[in-house]
Amino acid sequence: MSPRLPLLRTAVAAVGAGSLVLLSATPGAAAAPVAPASATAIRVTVANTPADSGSYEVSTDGTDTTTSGSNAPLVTALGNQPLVSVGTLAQDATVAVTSGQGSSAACAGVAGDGASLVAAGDSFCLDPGDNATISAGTFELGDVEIVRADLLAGFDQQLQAALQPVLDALVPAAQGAVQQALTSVGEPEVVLDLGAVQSQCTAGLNNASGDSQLVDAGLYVVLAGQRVDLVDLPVNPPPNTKVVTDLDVVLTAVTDALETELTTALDGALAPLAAVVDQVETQLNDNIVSAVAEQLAPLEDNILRGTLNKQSRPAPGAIEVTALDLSVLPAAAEFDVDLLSVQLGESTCGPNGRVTVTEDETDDPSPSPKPTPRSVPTAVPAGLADAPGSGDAGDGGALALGALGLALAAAGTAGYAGYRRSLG
Amino acid sequence: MLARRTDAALSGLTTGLLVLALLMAVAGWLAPSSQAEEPPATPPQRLRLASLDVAADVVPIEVSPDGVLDPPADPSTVGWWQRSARPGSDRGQTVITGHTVHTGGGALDPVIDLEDGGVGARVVLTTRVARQVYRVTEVLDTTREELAERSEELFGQDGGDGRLVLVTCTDWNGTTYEKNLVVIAEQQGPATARRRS
Repeated sequence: MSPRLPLLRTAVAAVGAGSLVLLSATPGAAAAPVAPASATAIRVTVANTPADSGSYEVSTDGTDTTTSGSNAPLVTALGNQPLVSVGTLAQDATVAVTSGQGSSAACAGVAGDGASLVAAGDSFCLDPGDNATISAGTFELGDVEIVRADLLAGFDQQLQAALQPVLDALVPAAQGAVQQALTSVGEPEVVLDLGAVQSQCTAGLNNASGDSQLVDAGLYVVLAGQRVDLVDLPVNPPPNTKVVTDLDVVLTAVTDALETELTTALDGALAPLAAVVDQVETQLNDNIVSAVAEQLAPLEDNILRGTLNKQSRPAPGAIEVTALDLSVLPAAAEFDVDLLSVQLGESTCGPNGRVTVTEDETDDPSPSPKPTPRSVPTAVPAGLADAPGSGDAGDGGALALGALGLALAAAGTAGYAGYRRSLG
Repeated sequence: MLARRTDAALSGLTTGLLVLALLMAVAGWLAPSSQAEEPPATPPQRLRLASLDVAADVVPIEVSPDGVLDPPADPSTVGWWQRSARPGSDRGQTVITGHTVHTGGGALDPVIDLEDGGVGARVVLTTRVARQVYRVTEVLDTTREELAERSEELFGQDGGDGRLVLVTCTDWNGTTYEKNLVVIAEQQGPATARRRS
């Protein structure tokens, strides 16, 4: 082996390590943002599959302002899912540097068709139009079964013995009544109804604040085609207001329907016991309703949990505001509901900083001020040569055509001059 | 004698006061209340300049970081600078711009006609809830440099009384438009609520 090889290896290793150090140091050398803001109209997770409207993010380092994402998102960005079909999404953010200090503002939300959009500033993004709805899920109540033991609960030995001959007829009669009752109630659908649900935030150098607005918003359940209100959401909720709701109304609707069905369903099966039929029928009714209620008991638990005007402060001088964070809780899983999590109107502002004044390499005693984003328009290019689609791109296209004409004319002139010289 | 005169004077005064009260009641009933609630200022949705047969939908637009306010890509619509005043505001200026298209089809193609005697023309902006009427008071023909120099005056939001500033292009030179046409229109009274159908 050559004695130079270890030396070479050492040199290569040193160069490699040096390069890594330089690479890792490079991001630190870039100008840091002094004012970031972002907005996301909607995030939704259905059955562990997330989708969102994309985020619109803006930041400035005092010299350059960068943006990413769209501030004109469409509902179609959420993909092909059946739960969310709101009409208007809004997400906007803006940043500025004034007297060397960064400031940021953002707003985001959803509303129905006909809502008007307002740019980020110190207000919300949307003037509500029509209402929109978001389905929080459809509950399947079909897995309810009545067995012989359900029917016999509470009867003494004598009555149990008396019931034995008719049990084979009672069980299917009871099961039929239960199915009839469940069919009449249908598959309850829980719906979020909203005029507008939106948040906004602003942040200065060391302060940040935010707010949410829920216009004409509430949760209701559709039972047998009828709307039954569960909860009305407040318009201006204080930060981090919790809302939970159960579906007790569904259980009540099922048991009401079941009692109606049972009065006729059991009569035939109990005919052989005419002498004691009233007493037995009452007890059987209670037993069947109890069996059904036991199986639908999770409806009485908290099925939906929401946080209104959810606010957190990820850093001093920064804020994240979500107008509505709503989840369908695991208790609903028994009813084949796709577990849903939806966040509407998420705005973030800050943390903002000061523009760092670096020493100019030329030691210029009067460096030019750093440009900030324009506060008013200074140019309005409102003229087109042709309407779009007619083959011309407007002023730019016209200029290009003009330049091409001039070039052809210059070429022609040069050619003519050359021809004259060749004659001379 | 004196008592009779006093009675007559008091009787006349009472009758006069009764007539005056009656007149005031009728006037109060006929005249619209000055305390009528003004509709909220919301973004404009429609521009109408009936004398020129101009009617266009209004969409919100934003100025780029380098100061360019591009009208909507669809030349049949006009853009409202979404950080400018909303119709009915008593501060700032409502800035709207739309394309003039040389071969036709621009929402503001006819606005060039305002250069000749356009002062006084009626412009109406409607929002979701209100309707604001303006009258043209000034029509300016500005180079791009002049527009940039006067940008704060024409588009700034710190002052102003809610006037309308309508901008398009003019002075086609065969290949491009060289100037801006700026129409200034002042509010004619407060915004009125739109009737909902």
